[in-house]
Amino acid sequence: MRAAFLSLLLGASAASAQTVVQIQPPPPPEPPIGFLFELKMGTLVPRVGDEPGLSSNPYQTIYGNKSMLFGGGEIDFIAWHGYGAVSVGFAAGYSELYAPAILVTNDANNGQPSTEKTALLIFPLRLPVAYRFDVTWSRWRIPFVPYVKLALLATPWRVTKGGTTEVVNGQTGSGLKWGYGFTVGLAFILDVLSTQMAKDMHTDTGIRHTYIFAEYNYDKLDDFGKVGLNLSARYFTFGLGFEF
Amino acid sequence: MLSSQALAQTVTLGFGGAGTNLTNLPFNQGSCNGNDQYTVTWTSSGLSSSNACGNMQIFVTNASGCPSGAPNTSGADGGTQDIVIDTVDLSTLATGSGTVPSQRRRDIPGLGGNCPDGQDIKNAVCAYLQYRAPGATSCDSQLGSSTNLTLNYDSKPPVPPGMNLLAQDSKIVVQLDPQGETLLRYEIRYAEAPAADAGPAWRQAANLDAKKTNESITGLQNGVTYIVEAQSIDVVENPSGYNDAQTATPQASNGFWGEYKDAGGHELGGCSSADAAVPSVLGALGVLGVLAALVRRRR
Repeated sequence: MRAAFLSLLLGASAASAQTVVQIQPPPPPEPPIGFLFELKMGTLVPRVGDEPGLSSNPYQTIYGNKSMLFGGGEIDFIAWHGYGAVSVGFAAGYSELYAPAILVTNDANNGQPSTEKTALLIFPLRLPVAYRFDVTWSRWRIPFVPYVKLALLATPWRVTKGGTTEVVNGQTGSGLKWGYGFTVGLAFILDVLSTQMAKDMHTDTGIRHTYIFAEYNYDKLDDFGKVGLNLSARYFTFGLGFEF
Repeated sequence: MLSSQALAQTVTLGFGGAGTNLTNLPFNQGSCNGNDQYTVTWTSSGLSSSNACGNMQIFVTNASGCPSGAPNTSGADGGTQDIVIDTVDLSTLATGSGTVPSQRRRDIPGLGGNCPDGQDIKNAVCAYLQYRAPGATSCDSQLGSSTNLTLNYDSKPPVPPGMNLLAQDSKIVVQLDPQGETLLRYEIRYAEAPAADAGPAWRQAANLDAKKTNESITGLQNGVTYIVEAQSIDVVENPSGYNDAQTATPQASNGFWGEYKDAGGHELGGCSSADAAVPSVLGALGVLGVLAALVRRRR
């Protein structure tokens, strides 16, 4: 079918001797496996106040409405590439927020800000399984790729006051929270902006695609429902990704 | 520092027994009074009886730099107070290195054998040699040391440090400022504010390296007023004397963890991977493993 079509085109070209025919080869098929590397950042507010039985929200008391700045990276292995792609990966990040501690005195200074700073530091780790509906780009050349992720979360956390881990009544302000998370996102394939540059990058560096993305994360980080410090969060992240 | 026209001829001086890179030897009044000594080592290259004209002189000037000429002929001190501490003859010079006999530190021109109070005096150790430059017939080229070697007598105490106190939970943070001095460390002492006519019972806090600017005095009692003083110690161990005392009263405070516990938080701290978390995590990992296996099998 294709050969016949080409013959027809070439025949027509020879006959007129004036028509220039350019045959554009179809895009190469996506390889079955590969890697993704992403850098991302965003802001989040842990839902500390969701813990049952709290008389107040300590996060709001200390930090008010401030969000924690989050930055991280993720690497995924594309285990299956067919109608879309399935990947498994590992992500690590860091987030912190500092504010003055609060004086606890029997005089008028009670509740006033101290000269000491207190910080909440979290180190989110996740093992995500993702499905990317990338046929939008590989077959239809639409540069938007939606995706979803399901992840197992483990987040070491630490609270400092005056630069050292805060201890209250012998209990240390540090620990590890487990949980799970869902993510939905949309990637914009930057290759569409300059096809030639994308080809050169593939040839020179092995990077097949480059993309930016935005995603919404629903992290349930409360030791699977156990009553305790709740570091769950719902937040957006944005970033830059590379597919190898 | 090299007055030679030819690069191949060099003379280098260094303080003996103090590492090859030490070019400044500070000493205090105690060292001066104790008749401490110093030695100078020299190295030369490209010099022999064929191009060196006369002996090399190693001398100390009554200035912080070396003159361009021979000792006692020129320089900031008028060239009249230089003290020649060694003369190296041509055959010794040709060996390439040697050590000047030990000298008393107090015998430098700026001290004249005395150890006065409150002085900061720098005298330079210099070398001088005339030599014949390559291709020349006359001995009119001059060679000095390529290193600037300084003896620094310092009996001048540093200015006391600037100080600011931050009262915190069970501690006081002492912020110190060197006031432009080059220091070795700060010494800090503190005491509970005494009753009316009683003297303070001083306790010594940890010394603070001068590269740092603040030190925490910990283990204090909240609500009690403390007085704090600090003094600077310069590089030759001259103390500044303690600055004017300041007071601070530590106060209890809550960080995020304290506020959380006060609000009735159930978290106990430490790794909370006990109870339900471990089986849940293992279950989740199992699900991930099964998913990965299914994906691989379909391929």
